[in-house]
Amino acid sequence: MDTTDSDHTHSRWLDKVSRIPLILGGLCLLAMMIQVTLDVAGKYLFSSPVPVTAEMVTYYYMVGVAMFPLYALERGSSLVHVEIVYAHLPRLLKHIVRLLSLALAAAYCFAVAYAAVKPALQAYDIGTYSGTLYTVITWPTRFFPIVGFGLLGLFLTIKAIALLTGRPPAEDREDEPPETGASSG
Amino acid sequence: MSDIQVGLTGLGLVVVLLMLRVPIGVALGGVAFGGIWVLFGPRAAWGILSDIPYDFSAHWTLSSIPMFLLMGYVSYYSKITEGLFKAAQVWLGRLPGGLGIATVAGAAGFSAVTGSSLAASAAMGRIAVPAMQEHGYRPGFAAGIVAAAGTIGSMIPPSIIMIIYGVFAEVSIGQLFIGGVIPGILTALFYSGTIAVRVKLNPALAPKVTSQITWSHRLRCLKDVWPFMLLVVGVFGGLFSGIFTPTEAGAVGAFLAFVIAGFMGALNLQVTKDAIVETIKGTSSIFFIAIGAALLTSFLAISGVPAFLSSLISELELSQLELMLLISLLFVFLGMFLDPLGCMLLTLPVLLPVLEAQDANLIWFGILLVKFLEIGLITPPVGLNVFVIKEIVGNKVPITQIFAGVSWFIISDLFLLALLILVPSLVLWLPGLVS
Amino acid sequence: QTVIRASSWHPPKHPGVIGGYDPFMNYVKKESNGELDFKFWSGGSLSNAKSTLPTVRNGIADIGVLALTYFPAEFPYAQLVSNMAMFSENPPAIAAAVTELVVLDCKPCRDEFTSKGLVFTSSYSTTPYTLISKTPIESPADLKGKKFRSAGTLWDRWANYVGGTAVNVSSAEMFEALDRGGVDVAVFSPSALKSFSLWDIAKYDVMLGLGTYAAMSLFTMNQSFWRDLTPEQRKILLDGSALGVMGVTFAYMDSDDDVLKQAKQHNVNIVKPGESLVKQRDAFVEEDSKKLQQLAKDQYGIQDAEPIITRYRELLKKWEGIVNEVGPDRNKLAERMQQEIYSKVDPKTYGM
Ligand code: NA
Ligand code: NA
Repeated sequence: MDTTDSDHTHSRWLDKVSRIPLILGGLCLLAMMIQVTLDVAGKYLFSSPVPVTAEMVTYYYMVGVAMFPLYALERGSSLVHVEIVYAHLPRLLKHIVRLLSLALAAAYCFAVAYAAVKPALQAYDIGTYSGTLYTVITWPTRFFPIVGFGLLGLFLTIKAIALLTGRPPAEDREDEPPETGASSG
Repeated sequence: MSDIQVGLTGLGLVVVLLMLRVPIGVALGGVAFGGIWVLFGPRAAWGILSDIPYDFSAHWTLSSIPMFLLMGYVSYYSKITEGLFKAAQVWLGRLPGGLGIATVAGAAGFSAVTGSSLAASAAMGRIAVPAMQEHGYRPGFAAGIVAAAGTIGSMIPPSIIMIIYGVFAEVSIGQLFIGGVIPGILTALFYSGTIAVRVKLNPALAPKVTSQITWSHRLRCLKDVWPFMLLVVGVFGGLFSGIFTPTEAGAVGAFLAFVIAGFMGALNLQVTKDAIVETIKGTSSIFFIAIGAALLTSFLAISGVPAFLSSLISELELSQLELMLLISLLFVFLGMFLDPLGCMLLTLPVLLPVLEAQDANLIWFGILLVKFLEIGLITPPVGLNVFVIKEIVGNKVPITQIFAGVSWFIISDLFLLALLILVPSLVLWLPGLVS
Repeated sequence: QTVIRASSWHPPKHPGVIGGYDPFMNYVKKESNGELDFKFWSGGSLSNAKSTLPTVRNGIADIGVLALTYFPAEFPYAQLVSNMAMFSENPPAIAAAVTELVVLDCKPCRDEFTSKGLVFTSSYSTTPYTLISKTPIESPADLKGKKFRSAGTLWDRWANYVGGTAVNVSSAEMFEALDRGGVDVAVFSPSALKSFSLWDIAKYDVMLGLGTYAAMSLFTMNQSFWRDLTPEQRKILLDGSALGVMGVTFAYMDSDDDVLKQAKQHNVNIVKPGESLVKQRDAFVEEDSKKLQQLAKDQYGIQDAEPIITRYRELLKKWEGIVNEVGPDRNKLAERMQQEIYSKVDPKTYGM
C-alpha cells in the first residue's frame, strides 16, 4: 500500500534487490505454518513427528520472520512512534527533531547489527547446532539479525540523507490521520 | 550516581525520547544500551546488545504470534469472518456498542485457545477492528476495544504467565487456571459494561442500527457464519482433544484458514500475498519493539530498580490491604515500562517472602499478578498489546488515539482489581470447589 | 571489598538456590571475612537458561549456572557426560564424580570452558528420572506407542528403544500437554510433580530410575573475574562450591522425599517398577553404553572418549563407596569433596 512513495528516495534496482529479504521472511512464515501443521498431523495420525520441527521454528523461521522484514518498516512510518510533543513543534524544529530521531534510529540499528557480528562468527567457528536424535545447524541464523538490522539502518540512513538534502520523504504527511468514518452516527 | 538513580534516569530519558518521535523500539533499546554502558561498561553493553535481539526472537512459544496474525489476516482478506460480523451486527445492533461487546466476547472465547495476550490480540485485531470501523465505530475506540480485550488472553486458561508463576511460587498451576476463569469472565463483563456506558454517553462512538431488522433476515444471516464456525471448531476441537498445544494452535489455525478460504473460493494469489506480507511486517515490527523492551528490562534488572522498589515495600509493617495497595502501585508503575515476564521475574523474589509472611493466599495473589501484568500491556508508554493493534491498524490510527481508547478499560480494570482484592472468594471459590 | 555478581535462572525456592547459591554465598562471605560479597539475581531476572552463557562470558555476571545440554556444540565433552547419565542412581556420588572428572582428570572438559573465557568449578546432580503419567505403566508393553517428554538425547534414545516417540514440548507447555494427551509420559524427577504441578493431572509415578541430569556447571566463573582474585580467594570459592554441589543435590533429594510423601494427597500412585521394566532398562543401558564411543565420535567429534568413560566409571565406584561410608550427610560429603578434589587443585594455576 505504500510502494509508490519509495520511488523518490530509492533507485529502482535497490527496490528490487531489497525485496529479497521480504520474500525470505515470507518463506519462513509459510514454512513455519506448514511444518508445524505436518508435525501435528504426523504426531496424531502416525505417532511420528516431523524431525527438528521445534528447532527449525525456533531458530530459522522465528528469527527469519522477525529479522528479514525489518527494513520494510522504514517505509510508511511502520516504526511505531509517539506524536504527542512533536506534532506541536514549529516547522524548523520539527525538521531537526525528525533528523535527529532518524539518526538515532539508524545508529541503534547499526549498533545491533555490529554487536551481532562477533557471536555470529563464534557460532560459525564452533558450528552450533540444536536437536537430539536429529540435529540441525543453527549458526547461519546468527547472521539473520545482522542482515535485518543492518538493512534497516541503511534505509534509515538513506532517508535521513534525503531529509537533509531537502527532499522530505513522502510519508511525513500521513502521521496525522483524518478522523475518517468517525462521525457517521 | 547510584545504580538506582541511573535506572530511574533511564526511565525518564525513555519518556523524553518518545516525546521526540524517536521510534519506540529505538528509545527503549538505546536507553538500555547506554544505561548498561554507564553501569557495567562497554563490554557488558555490547554483550547484551549482541545477545538479546537474537535470543528473544529465537523462541518457540512466541511463534504463536506470527501464526495467529496470519490466521487473522487470511480470515480477513478472504472474508471468512465477514458473515460472522454481519450476523453479530444484525443480532446485537440494537445493543449500545453491540459489535464491540461481541468483540470482547470473541476475545474471551479466543483466550481459551491461546496462552498469550499478544497472540489473542493478534488473532482478533485484523478481524474485529475493520468490522467495527465499517459499522461506523470511531477508530481509536475500536482499536482500544481489541487491545484491551486481548488482555483476557492470559487470564482465561491456558496461560503461559500462570504456568511461569506457578513454577516460581510453587503453587498449583491447575488451581491457578481454575482461579482465572471467574476473573477472566468478569473482565469481559466489565469491558462490555464499559463499552455500553461509553456509547450511551457518547452515541457518536458507535452508531446504532436504525433500520428495522426482521427475524427472517436475522436467521438468514446465520448461514454465512459457517466458515468462521469451521475455523473455531477446528482450533478448539484440536486443542481440547490434545491434538496440538496452544503454541501449535496458531499454525494449525492459519493452515485451516487457508483451507477454508480455498473452499469458499476466496483464496487467490493477491489474498495470499497480502496476508503474508502484512503478517511478516507486523511480526517484525512487534519484535522490533519487544526487543527494545527486553533490553530495557535487562537494564532495569542490572540497575536494581524493581528489586529496590519491592524491598521498600517489604520493609514496611503493613496490613494485607495496605500491602496489596502498594503492590498495585508498584506493578502499575513498573508495568508502564517492563514486559510482563520481566516485571514478574524482577519483583517476585522480593515480594513472595513478604506475602508468605503475611500468610497471603498465593493462588489469589497469582491471579492478581496476572491482572497487574495484563494492565501493563495496555498502559503507556510501553504497552505491547497496543503496539500489536497499532501494527494491525497501520497509519490510519495514531498510537495516542489507541492509548486514549484503552484508558477507559484501564479504569474498569482498576475497579475489577479492587473488587478482586476486597473479595478474594471471587478468585478462590472455584479452585476451592475442585480441590 | 569485591562485590561478586551471581546469576541463577533457578526460581528462588529451587534446590539450585536454597541448596546451592545460598550456602555457597554464605560460606564465601564468612571465609573471606566479608572481603567477598555478592549481588545475586535468581529466577532468570538477569539471564535465562540460554542467555547465561553469554552473560557470564561477557562479564555481566561473574558467576552463573549453565545447563550444558543447551550448548551441544560449545561443550561436546559435557554431552558425553550427559549420555552417561544412566550409569548410576546415586545423586551425591554422581555429582562428586562428574566434578572430580572435570576438575582433575579431563583436561579437554576443562578446556572447553577456558577456551571461552570461563572456568568450571563444579557440577551437581538431580535425582533419578521417573515416569510420570496418567495411565498405569506395568510392563514394556505399556510403553509402546507412548509419547514421551524427555530432558535430552539419552532419554530420546531410550524412548525410541522402548517403541515410543520423543516429542518436543517446552517445560512451559508440559502441564497442558500432559493434561490433554499431547504427551503421555513426562520423564522427570518426582519433584516435578510439585514444581510443575504435574500432580494435578498425573495419576502414576513409576520409580524406574532413568538416570539423573548432571551435565551442569553450577558455579561457572568468568575467567577474567577469576584471574583478578587472589589464590586465597579462589581457594575459598572452590571449597565453597563443594558445599553448593552437595547442597543442591541433597535439596533435590529432600524435595523428592517431600513430594513422595504428599503424592497420596494429590491422588498420585508412587509405583515400584515391575521386573520386566527394570530388565528392559538394564538392557537398554548395556546396549547403549556400547555405542557410546561411536556416538561421541560421530555426534560430538570426541576422539578420545574411551579413557574418559572408563575414568568416569571408576570415579562413580569411588564416590559410591564414599557416600556409603559417610552416609547421607551433605556437610561431611562436601568436606570429602574438598579433600578429594579441591585440595588437589593449585589455585594459582587452575583455570588460568
Ligand atoms: Na488463555
Ligand atoms: Na505498559
